[in-house]
Amino acid sequence: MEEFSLVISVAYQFGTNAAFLLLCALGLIVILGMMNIINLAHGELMMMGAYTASLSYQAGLPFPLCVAVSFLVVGFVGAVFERLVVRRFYGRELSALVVTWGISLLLSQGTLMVFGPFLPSIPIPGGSLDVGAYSLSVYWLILIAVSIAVVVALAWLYNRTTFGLHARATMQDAAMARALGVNTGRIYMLTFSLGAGLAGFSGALLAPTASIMPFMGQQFVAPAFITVVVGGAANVIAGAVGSSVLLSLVRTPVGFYLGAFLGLVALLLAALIIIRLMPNGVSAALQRWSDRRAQSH
Amino acid sequence: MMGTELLTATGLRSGYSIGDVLQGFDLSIDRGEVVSVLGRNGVGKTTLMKTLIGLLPTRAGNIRYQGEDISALPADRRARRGIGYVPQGRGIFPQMTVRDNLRMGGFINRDQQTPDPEVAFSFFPFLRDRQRQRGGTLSGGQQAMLAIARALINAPDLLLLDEPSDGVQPSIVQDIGAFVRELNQSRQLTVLIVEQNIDLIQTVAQRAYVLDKGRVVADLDRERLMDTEHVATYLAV
Repeated sequence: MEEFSLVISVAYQFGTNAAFLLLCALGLIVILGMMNIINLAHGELMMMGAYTASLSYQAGLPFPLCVAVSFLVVGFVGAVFERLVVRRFYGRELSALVVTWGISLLLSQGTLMVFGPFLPSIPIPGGSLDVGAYSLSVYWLILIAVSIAVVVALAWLYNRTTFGLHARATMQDAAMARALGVNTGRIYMLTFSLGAGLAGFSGALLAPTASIMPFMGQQFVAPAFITVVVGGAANVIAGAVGSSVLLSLVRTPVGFYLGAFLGLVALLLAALIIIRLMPNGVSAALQRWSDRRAQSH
Repeated sequence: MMGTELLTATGLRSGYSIGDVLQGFDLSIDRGEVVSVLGRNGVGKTTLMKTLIGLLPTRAGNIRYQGEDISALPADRRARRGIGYVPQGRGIFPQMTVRDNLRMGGFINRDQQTPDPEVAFSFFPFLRDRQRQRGGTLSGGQQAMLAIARALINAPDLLLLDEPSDGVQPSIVQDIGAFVRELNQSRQLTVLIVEQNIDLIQTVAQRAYVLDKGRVVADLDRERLMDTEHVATYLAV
């Protein structure tokens, strides 16, 4: 029984670590992975999601509805930024980096001016489950399930729908997609908006676990970029899943036996080694394997 | 007024930031014709094709398609009116499977909503077997066949072909020629083909324009097109 609860506890730790990485990465999977925009405002979009959730929670909305509102509000903000600013910088990665950094400063300082340094936090929904000597948070179990569901939905959207087909074609060769009847301007706007909306969605979901402050987004930026870059661009969704699993496999046991800080160090070291060995990310390695399979048929 | 003319271009000027490449280009194609544009490298053939599909803006002159001025329409709206385009270099989406590349051709002709890959499969059977393979892993010749199949899958009225033989082995060039001819005869597909391969031109084209320095300098009828030595003088450097 003692061993059983230990296994459950380690599996739970692993699940929360992987879900945290995936949630941080969700919006960036779309914006960096697919559109190749180094979006330094990613953390601030997550912060906006948390703010929207906190404000609508205080207004009396049930928490799941707050998360939905955050998705819509931040998605709309993303669409506006794309129309006004970001679309002038496609294909100019460094300019886009500076511009999104500017947006991030604008958002965090603007939030500080309008809302002050703190917003009331949201209590963590759900209680806890006791397994042996360990206690598991129901909310984190829900977050694990939600992150899996969103990744499956994203994969479905990109692989099974006409929008996904058009989006993949536009990201690979926009001129050719246009010549085949795709309104690429619309695809770019919807894609950026979806990425922003997902960042807001994750920010809202993580809001109960964090302090709601104008600069709270910073803590999510590094995990988000590490997850997407280690995943690679060959197949962003599969890559992000692969990298969050791989990195959590390293982080969880080290964190469990040597403490959370060394767990984080192990994660960063693992990211370094994986990028050194697979410069194009986990998904490029997966793709080489699947190409060989497809060609041998 | 809608006669038998499918596509006309009048006084077309277009190019890049350094200046106009097309300098008053005129052309007229009837429904059901296969017309070739000949010329040496760098005379503006690819610029012409990009301007006709709308990837380069028309700076002066106009393009009429099915009786309407389409010069100001973006490329996606031209494609949806039924213009299929096969660019130089083929424009295959490398990360997408053969099947998804073919599906991308399904938006070309908005009136016709039944993409049918079977005709393409009967000419290029390898496409059927490799639907799950990524486009980028096909050979150059296979990509050329895929690009043509993709452009034709939804029965467009007009096909713009930019040097389909470029970098393709002779047997595949013959297959491409046979496919284009078959669709021209069975479906009255209209084709504008830019080419330097004399065999392919002679297989498919009924007449040709000779392009030099951004203008039409000669019209060739079928008889003169079959005179290989004569045609070669327009292509030699």
